[in-house]
Amino acid sequence: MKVEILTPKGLELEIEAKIVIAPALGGEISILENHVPIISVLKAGKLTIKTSDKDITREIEGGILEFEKGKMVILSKRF
Amino acid sequence: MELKEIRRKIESVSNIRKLTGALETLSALKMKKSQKFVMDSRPFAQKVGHLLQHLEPVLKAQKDVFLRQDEVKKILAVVIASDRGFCGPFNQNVARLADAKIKKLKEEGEVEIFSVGKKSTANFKKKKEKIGKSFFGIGDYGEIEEVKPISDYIIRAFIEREYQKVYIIWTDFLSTFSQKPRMIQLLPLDGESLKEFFKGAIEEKHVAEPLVEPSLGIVAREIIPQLVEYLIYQCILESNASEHSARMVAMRNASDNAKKRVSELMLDYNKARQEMITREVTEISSAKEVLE
Repeated sequence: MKVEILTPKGLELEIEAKIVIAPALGGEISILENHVPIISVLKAGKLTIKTSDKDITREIEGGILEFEKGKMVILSKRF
Repeated sequence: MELKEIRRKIESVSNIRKLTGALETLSALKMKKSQKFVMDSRPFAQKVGHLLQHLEPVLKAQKDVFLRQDEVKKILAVVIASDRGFCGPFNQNVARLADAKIKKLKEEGEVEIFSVGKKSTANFKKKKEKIGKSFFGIGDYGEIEEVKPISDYIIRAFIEREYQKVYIIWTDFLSTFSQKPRMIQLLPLDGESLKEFFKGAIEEKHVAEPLVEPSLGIVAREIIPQLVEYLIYQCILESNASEHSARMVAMRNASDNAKKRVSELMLDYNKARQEMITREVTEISSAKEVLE
């Protein structure tokens, strides 16, 4: 799936990922390619994006995650 | 005109030119940076609008506090202008639109103003409008934290039902030479005005109802204030870019005018000097003739 991370400063990251593990309000959620469409609130915590060859882990300050039709967009103040 | 007088005029016009030239360079720099800011944040704001539109029908059905329209008693109009002048018709354009719109809004209910920017406050003070709150001192390339006091106030006042409707008036940045003041209904959130805000830049309709985590109520409470904050932030960035562009253009025009004026005055000066020399020569030669 395509993952985009957007902040008010622009598009910070655009990558093909296999799994995204995000700190949702109710606890960590993992999202794979064929997940149902979802909108979720993220709290401050660790965001992990696993691609075919590497893992990217970053601290985020919270935000909003939207996943639909094989495309994920994460809105955050900073990345 | 006296030679001395013309010379003094030339001097003062060239001083003005130096000033406007310096301001032009300065605002050109600021313009470039604030334009970059506004362009960078547009995809983000569009996504925000997209999300809001996505959630709107579901939340409306739930009579969410941010979407419910109560009986209108008091309306808040947020008007964004600049802190400083010297920016051509920028502030007047905002004021003109605000005046027209506020007059119309008064038919619906009592209108209070939230003025952002010193020039905005000054305008409404002069017209004796009721100013509920005013705010100034947002940096040229405002960070989102700077906008927080504004959005916090608006959201809190709306939740406590101090106002039943909130409008925002700002200047949309189109290009360096063209900026347009606009107004939308900010709260209660409304799909139509969101569409208006993004001028149709929002993506196509969704196929499926999304799963909302952890629950719709929490999402609404968490997300909507954030999204509203981002919208206000975007309005301020747009206004900032517009302000600096308007100032740059105004200063360039002023410099050009000053340049033209100096060359006109130079002509006058040379003419006057020539006249004086001719007069002196005639005087000397006629005096000589008389002596002979």
